[in-house]
Amino acid sequence: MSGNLKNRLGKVKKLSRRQFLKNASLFMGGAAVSSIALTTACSSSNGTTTSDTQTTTPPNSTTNTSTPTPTITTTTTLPPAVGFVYVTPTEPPPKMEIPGCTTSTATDRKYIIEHMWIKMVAEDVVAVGITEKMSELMDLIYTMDLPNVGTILQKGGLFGYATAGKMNVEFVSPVSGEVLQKNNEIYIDLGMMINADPYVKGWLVTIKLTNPEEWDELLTPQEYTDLNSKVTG
Amino acid sequence: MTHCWMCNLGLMPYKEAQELQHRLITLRYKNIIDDILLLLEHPPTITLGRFANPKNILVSQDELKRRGITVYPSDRAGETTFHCPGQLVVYPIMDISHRVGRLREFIHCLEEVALKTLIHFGISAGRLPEHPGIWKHGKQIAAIGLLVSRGVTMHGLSLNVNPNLNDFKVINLCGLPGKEATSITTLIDHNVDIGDVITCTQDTFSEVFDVDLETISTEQVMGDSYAAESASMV
Repeated sequence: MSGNLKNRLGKVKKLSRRQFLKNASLFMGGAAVSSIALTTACSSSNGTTTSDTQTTTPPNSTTNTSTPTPTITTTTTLPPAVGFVYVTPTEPPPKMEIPGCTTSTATDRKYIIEHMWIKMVAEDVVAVGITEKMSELMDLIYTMDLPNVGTILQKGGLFGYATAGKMNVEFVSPVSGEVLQKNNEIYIDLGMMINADPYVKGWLVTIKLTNPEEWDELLTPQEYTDLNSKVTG
Repeated sequence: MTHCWMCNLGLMPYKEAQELQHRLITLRYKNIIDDILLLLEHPPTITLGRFANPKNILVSQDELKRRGITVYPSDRAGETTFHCPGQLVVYPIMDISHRVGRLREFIHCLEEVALKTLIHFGISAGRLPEHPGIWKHGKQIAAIGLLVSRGVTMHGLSLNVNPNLNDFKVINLCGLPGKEATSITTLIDHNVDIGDVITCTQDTFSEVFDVDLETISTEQVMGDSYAAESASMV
């Protein structure tokens, strides 16, 4: 039967490997190229010790990639990691709109292109969640599988799954480290906690970084916003 | 209209097809390849989605073995599904991060592919608000389940063309007790060549997703995906 199927397809066009693997040469060194690009893009970000300094765009500003935007600098003193317990903030974060989208980017944290945010909350400890953009893309989330406390995560490795409709969405870990806390409160109502408030109530886990230098490789709020405004536009 | 490869893999074991898809979504994520549509059939296989209850398999292991049916875990969404020859499986490996709209709309488009294909064969099927997939007269004719990793889709749609429907009774379809499967052949009461359904599915897929399909051989897809995977390990 399957032979019959193949016959029905007629002549199959034979292509060279370069044609199918369109970036074969880039792929061979792709990881290195990507790393360089990200490091360059984030070179203005400082490493974090007990004090985290970030350069961000003013909250609620509408960003245009062709127009330079003024920046502000905020300095936050971070608590030590030992004995640290992350408590859900009571205030919404400062945000910038993503041009052409109905969603926004919180400016007090960093990002990966796979629509996850990473916020430094203590010395070498980050909170992690999904972005408003991802929340909107997924629509109503009805299951969320998260790594348990004590799980060792590798940057780029599997972080967890969410299910919306008949679609599983796989999340990758934005950093390497050990899971310290898991936000079990999201399971009270995933829609209200993650879909409605992804930057505050919808935090997923906290992670103790094993490679703090990875922080410098993450996208700034402006970079994440620019990437998504380009996608949408 | 964007470019999209199309490959007919013929009859391929589920495990092999899932491994191939994982290689391809990595290549797609890295923008090494364009989108690619895989069309294939599986040998008799029960697949268990991430939230599947094994109790939805209704016969013993011995009976499954006797009937040549394998059971395999799947990382797609959804419950228990049955695949076999005569069922056309449609796996789009597509980067949807550049497509405006929600992921649910991608599923909606995939359902449209099935619905338009069925209309071509004189079957007016539909969605049920309470159950996933495509249904006709209360029986399921197409099932859907996907995985999205780094903005790239895998798994997809299975459309019953002319399978042995008795084999579907080994499970509760999609975890729904009492629900039955149907097929194009059953509904129009004469046999349909699965090749005709493939041709029609290509056309409707191209129309619904606004892509320009170009055929590529199984050998090239398999060989190049292995080669690229090996290269990445160097």
